[in-house]
Amino acid sequence: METLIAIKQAFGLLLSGDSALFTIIFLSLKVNLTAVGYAALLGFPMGALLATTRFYGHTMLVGLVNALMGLPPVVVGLAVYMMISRSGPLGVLDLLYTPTAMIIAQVILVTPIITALTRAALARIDKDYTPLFRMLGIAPMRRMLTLIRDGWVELLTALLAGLGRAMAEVGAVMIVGGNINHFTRVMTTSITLETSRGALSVALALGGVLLVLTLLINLVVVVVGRREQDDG
Amino acid sequence: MAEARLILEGRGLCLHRQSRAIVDRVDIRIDAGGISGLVGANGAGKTSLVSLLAGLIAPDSGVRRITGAGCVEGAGEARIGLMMQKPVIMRRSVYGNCDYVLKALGVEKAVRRARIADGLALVRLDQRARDDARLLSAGEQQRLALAQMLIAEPAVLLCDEATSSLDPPSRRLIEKIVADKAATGLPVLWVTHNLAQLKRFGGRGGGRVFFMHQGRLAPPQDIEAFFTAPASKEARAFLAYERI
Repeated sequence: METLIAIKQAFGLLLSGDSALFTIIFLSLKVNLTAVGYAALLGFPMGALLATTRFYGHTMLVGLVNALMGLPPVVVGLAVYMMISRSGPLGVLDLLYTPTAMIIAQVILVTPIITALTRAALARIDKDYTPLFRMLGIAPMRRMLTLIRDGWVELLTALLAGLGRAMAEVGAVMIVGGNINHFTRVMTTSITLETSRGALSVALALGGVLLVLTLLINLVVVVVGRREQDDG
Repeated sequence: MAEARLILEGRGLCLHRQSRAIVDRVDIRIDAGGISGLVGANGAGKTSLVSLLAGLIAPDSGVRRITGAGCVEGAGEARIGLMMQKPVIMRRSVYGNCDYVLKALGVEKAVRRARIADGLALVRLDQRARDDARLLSAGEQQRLALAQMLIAEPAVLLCDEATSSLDPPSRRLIEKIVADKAATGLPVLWVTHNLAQLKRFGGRGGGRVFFMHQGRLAPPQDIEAFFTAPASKEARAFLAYERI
């Protein structure tokens, strides 16, 4: 009964356009989308480079990037905290408990995912295209751009996988963001807080939004992937 | 005085894999127009030799040279056309696949458009120019690969089992186009197991056969002579089964 009341209140909050609730939702989107944007700027070229070049330590680096996909968020949060806290080497920048700190932590978590997925996808395409590249004497940069252009579906999948990870993240952003109301409180940290407080209606409303967004992201991945399979 | 046409030449080409000689001190020169066949049993080293000639892989020793008229340093690679058993089909339209090749060669847009239109008409894919190339049948994809090579105006065309997995109509069309091009003076090296196909090329007049056995290349013979009096016992053994 209590749960039903909480669900009803959650819908009420969402439908009434509760400003506090939507501030949290918008901040979440802002932090996550910004972080994924930066991670893509780093991950796409790094993945393409790893897919198209061979150098001493290449295999080890690929293994490392793959391993970093499973980075524990709280460990990343702790590491970023130590870097940007007052006594840390970047303490002078005064970033602790700001959205920027949360973005930094998210970028560290998401970049390996985008890099590894990009590398795996583009390496497959590169293998198919290599005879043509060699025959035409395609330069390395043009080769990378060709792969990025032709592998856009896989890159979109990598991007959305990164966004999914960022949306679901709680540990790192809690540590470096501090979960400050109206400033660094995002959906996941807010759900944690409200649940511990017993304010289930707010937690459920945010949980519902988070769930819908996550499902939408995955739906896009499935639809785009299937469409590409059907075409290919 | 400059030589009249481009010459693709390999001298002392060697390629080893796990200490086994895949290509063993091969000398080959492809300069004359017309079709030269390259035959031999599976594992004889034909595909490796073609890959060496096309510049896809580097030899362990020996040299591969592209010389002749209009061949400037470093620009020879793109003048070698290669058709493989499994063509490289890019994730683009039929037109886009052709356009990529010409763009890479620095051909101007207007010229590209005209050449692609001619090339696709030649291989009867002009009606499918806007289709995703991956949706083409195997025969159509191989025809697209042929169009890609021909619009690049190669000086030498290497065809490695290019029609071995195709149905007779597709095979016939590709054979005809390649034979017609060879008749205009384009040197073609045609790798095949299909002796009937080789005979058909021989029937058009001219042509020679290189026989490869365990990485070694025998001196070339006329196609007719190869079938009537093969020069080596390995070639005789290779042909014997077909005569049964």
